[in-house]
Amino acid sequence: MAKIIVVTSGKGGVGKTTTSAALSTGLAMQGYRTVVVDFDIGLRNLDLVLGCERRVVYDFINVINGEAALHQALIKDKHTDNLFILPASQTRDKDALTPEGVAEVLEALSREFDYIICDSPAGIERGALMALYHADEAIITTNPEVSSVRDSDRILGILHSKSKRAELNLEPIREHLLLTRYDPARVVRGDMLSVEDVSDILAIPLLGVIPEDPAVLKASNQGTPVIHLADSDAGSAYDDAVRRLLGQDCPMRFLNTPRKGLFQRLFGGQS
Amino acid sequence: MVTLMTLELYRYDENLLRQQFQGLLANAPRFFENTPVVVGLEHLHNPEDAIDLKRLAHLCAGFGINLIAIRGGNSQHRRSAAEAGLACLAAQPQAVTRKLPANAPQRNKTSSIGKNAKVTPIHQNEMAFDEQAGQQASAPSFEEPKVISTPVRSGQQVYHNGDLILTGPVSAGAEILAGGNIHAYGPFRGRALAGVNGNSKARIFCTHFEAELVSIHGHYKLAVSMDKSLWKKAVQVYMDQDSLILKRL
Repeated sequence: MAKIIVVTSGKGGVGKTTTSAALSTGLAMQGYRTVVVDFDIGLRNLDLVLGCERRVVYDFINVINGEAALHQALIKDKHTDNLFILPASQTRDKDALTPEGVAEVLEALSREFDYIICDSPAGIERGALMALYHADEAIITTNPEVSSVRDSDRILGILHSKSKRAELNLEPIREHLLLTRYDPARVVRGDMLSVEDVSDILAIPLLGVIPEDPAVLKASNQGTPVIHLADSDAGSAYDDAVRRLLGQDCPMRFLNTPRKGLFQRLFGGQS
Repeated sequence: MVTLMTLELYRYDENLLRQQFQGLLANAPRFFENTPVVVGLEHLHNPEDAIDLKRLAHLCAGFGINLIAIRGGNSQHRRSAAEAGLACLAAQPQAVTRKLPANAPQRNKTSSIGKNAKVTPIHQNEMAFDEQAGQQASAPSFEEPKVISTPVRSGQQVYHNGDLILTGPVSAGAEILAGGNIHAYGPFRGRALAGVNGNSKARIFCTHFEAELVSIHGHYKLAVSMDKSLWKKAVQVYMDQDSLILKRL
């Protein structure tokens, strides 16, 4: 039985797809058979971030509608062994996701894989609900900013009330906070919420802090998950997060501003 | 509109009224404390009873009750009220149909007059307080306290007709509604509404107060109009007469 992990946030543009791509790649690199499912029907992006957009023939909705077999729609990642992508349909909308169809596809996938990563669309409507319904664990992707934190809080409430585990009164979904686009210098200046502020409001365990890093945009545009750029800060932070997800103890990095040299401290002013 | 406490008079007997006041104040010494009170005369068993309102006002004043007006009554009552310096209000049509407190299924401790009425069947005067009578109509009894130990998130609503005890955090945008009191032991950043079924004696207790809004029996206060020194402190909220009081614990 696979472990189903939803990557969700409520708010859009906080890094769900980047995170889904990085974590699924990381898990596959650790040797786990992993599939990442794009639930953002109509706004397909995951294929671009993973660089497989030109190999999409069939998609998630085709499988739900019985127009294609699951193995026809699954795309094997070129860079990473053990990683498969189930792309979203670009021509349909979220109404094409039926609860029965999603349940059947996830059940079939869970027979073959160790991890199923569900890349949730933004919002709290059908697409997001379908993505989180079957989850065993949830990665709450949050930017250190008030509106993102509030939306994350809202989605946590929905995980508690509308997921399968909540409805069947099973053990609740394990929640993890992943803080993305973190900029310690701006936190010091008081422009950005700190890790402590966000943890205090959301009150769930911290999985990782991904620093703001130009490498993320570069990696997206190249269609390479940022975790492959091992010498980038964001890539190593994602690598740490994967290790923590697998239960390893890994100290948090990138929480503080890089130390300034003597000259900068004397004459530097704002960095 | 102002809600006033009403003293519903069924029969007029000074001695028994005095006894009832004494009994009530023995349980709740500060029950009245200069509360403005209206005397309701719609329920008089014999509507033609002559009442010396000057004497009644004097008797009430001895217990800290400020009579300000009569409601209903005949022309003799209105004349007597005018002499006593009391205003006259029109009879309330719905008040006539309101249940006698002695028939009410259950009374809480603060309305112990109803209790007295039950244990002393030969009572001469019965009174009911408007607010409590209204509460009985919509909420016959309070339920057992309810404990919520998971965080209450933005957009979630918790309602319980009784005391609500919250051990986890309550996020901004969450709404806690209780018929009774609210006790919050985690950071409270949401909206707290206590006494929602008409209980103005309900209170809110927070150990870590950052509420967006507090309300008791419909009287509310927003975070913007709260004293900043209460922020993140242990705070209680209660009604004193018609104003909402926020105070450090």
